Amino acid sequence: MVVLFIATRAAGDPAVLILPSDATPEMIQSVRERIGTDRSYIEQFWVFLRDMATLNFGRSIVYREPVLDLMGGRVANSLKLQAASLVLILATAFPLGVLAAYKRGKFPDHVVRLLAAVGQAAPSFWVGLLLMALFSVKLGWLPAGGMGPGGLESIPYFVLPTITTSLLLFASLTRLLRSSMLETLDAEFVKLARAKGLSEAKVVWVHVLRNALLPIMTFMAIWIGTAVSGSVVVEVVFDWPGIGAMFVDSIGTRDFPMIQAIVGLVAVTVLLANLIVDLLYGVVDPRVRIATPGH
Amino acid sequence: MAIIEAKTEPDEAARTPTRRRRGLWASIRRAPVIPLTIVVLFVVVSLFGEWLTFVPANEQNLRLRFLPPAWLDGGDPRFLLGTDNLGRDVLSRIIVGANASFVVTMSALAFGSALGSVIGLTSGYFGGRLDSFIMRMADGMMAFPLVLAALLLVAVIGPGIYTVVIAASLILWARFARLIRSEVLSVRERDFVKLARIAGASDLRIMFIHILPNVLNSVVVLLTLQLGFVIIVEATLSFLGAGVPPPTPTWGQMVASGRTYIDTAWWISLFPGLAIAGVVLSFNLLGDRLRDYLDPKLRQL
Repeated sequence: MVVLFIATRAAGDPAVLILPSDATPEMIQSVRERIGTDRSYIEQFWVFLRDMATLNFGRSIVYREPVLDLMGGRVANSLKLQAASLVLILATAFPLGVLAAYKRGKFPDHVVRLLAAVGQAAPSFWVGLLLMALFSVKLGWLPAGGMGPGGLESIPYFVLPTITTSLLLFASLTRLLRSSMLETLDAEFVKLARAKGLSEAKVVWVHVLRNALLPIMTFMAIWIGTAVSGSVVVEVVFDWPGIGAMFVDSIGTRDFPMIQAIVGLVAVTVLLANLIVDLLYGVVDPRVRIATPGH
Repeated sequence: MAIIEAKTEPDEAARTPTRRRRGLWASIRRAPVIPLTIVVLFVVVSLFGEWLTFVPANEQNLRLRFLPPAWLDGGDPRFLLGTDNLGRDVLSRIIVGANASFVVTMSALAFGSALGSVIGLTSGYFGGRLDSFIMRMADGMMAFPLVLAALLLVAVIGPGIYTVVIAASLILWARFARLIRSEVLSVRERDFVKLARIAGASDLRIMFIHILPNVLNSVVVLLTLQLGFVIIVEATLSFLGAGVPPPTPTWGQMVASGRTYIDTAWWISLFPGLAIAGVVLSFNLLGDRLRDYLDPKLRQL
């Protein structure tokens, strides 16, 4: 909180930045009074804390509308994109990661590993642009940007941004799943499960996968941060009307109420996500419930 | 495909005793040639880029705008990879642009790893409340979206090379601190540390002379594994206009400048992006190999 306050105040006077360069001192003064930067820092900090606690994020300096009204729809748009890409990641990474581990050293393994290595190395803004150049410009199959009119007609607009958003997390998850599965496949209890005469599918998908999930969950919390970073980039590339693109805009215009609100929102989301992952850990692995310190 | 097949399995590297005995040099010779070549090329080009171009990177020629790569219709052999919207040579800019990537990556890694190692060492060695506090901070840092943090920094101190280095170090220190701390926890309990204490060595001496050399392997492995990540971070920030400001060419910025002309002049964006992807892929592959050789137990990183 304190960091956020200092950061937003240290950047110079927004009043000077939003007015044209030939503004008179009187004009600057009146803007300062409107946005509250004429008061002392202690006073400003108090107002800042009060506003945060009451979820009063104020009005955008640039649009002059309440920040929360501006953000609402944008957050929903970003979440739609993230949800679509989460579905895609889970639908692709799990089968491929498990397949690669199971067919280790064989052809499917090589293909999956190559795919994952490229996915981790290629920057998403570049992949997004190339997809756009190929499928929108050259072939004309899919729209190049924006979100479309809504409803079913919007589905084509989702395809490219979803793929681009998914790429990095897909690659990391597949790699992690593969190595985690490999370790678990060697474990004693897997041999036991096989010796009991369980079907191979049950051994792999129930016994091995469940135990291989543990190290992955620890990384989940970090990934949420990566997902937010990724959505900023993808939204800029595809002109997606989401919160990430809005953040980049508000940085450009030094719209501090907006910046504060978005950073605050993301910080709270990340904290909550960490908490949820910690709790889920106990659900997947009952051992954690007894021995809590560290993981 | 050849690159991947040449890679050995991590487990085999750890288990087969004959492989361990072969030594580092043998391992380097067995290393995949293509990634190694790309990395060496990248380093040479970053250091001597300005002397390696045929056309000055910032020379504009508006009559020669949007020339396609030399092998296409209308291409000019002087501009092998074509020209951009201001008639500048794409190849020259890629060559000179390597420098920004290199400088940012190296400074961020040096800064982040040094800071992270010292913090991790302190945290692991002293333990207790300090340790939990530092680790909470590191968790928080790693969870917070890097791009958001970096953009916030840009709003505060303005775009520039320092902003990118600080932003990347912010995340890197946490990664290093966590790893070093967990290593220190086990080294701390070994006998030679206890003996050093009995012999009257100070905390500082034990930390830096006795424990640090034992965790350096992990630092080196993590360094190589993070190289590619930092290059992508730098490129992403450049793409968003938060990196090293123009006219200094950077790869991310070049991809961004081609975005407007993607329907006609795709080469402006394609080639710099290809450079990023190639360099990052090579560093990642080599990093994986180094880890398998030095420290197979870090496979989860």
